[in-house]
Amino acid sequence: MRNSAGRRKIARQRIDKLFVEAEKAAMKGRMEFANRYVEIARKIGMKYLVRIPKEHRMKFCRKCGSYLVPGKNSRVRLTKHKVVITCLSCGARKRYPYIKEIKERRRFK
Amino acid sequence: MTKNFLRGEFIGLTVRVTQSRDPSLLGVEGRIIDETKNMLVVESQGKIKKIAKDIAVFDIAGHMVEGRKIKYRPEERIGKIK
Repeated sequence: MRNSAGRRKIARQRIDKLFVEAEKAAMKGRMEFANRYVEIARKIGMKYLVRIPKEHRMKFCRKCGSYLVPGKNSRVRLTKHKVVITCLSCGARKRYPYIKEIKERRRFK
Repeated sequence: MTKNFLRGEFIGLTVRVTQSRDPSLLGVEGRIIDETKNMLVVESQGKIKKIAKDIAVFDIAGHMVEGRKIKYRPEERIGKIK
């Protein structure tokens, strides 16, 4: 692949921009566009081998691809040392453990 | 520079149709809200308009863009524009 570093740089910029636009659309209540932007961002990521940045990774449902707005179409709960994010559009749950933070706290006690 | 602009993201930018084979689309101005292989979806004065790419020349955020040169899916544009 020619100049793949350059392509991936553009891909990263576009993914960032698409998430900004998705958030704007979601704030206006236009979820179909927010979901579409997430779809394009993920497609770009897959095609050019770019990961979705950490700060955006929890903002959409891995299963159905909807943009998640806590309180609106997602539920965020802390259970069993995990953050559980439920997508209310499809019901999928994603668990993010925070055991690292707990261990850190124990060490400083 | 311009090539990289064609590879960048269009969603969210303002667009104006400067030339078009369909006279009713001439001068349509608005914000790009979606893009497919053959169309730009533009929100213009509260209305959603779908404009075919290959029949028009666009002014996207100040750049002259020939529609037929961006006739790719949004995620393909990065790699396919030569």
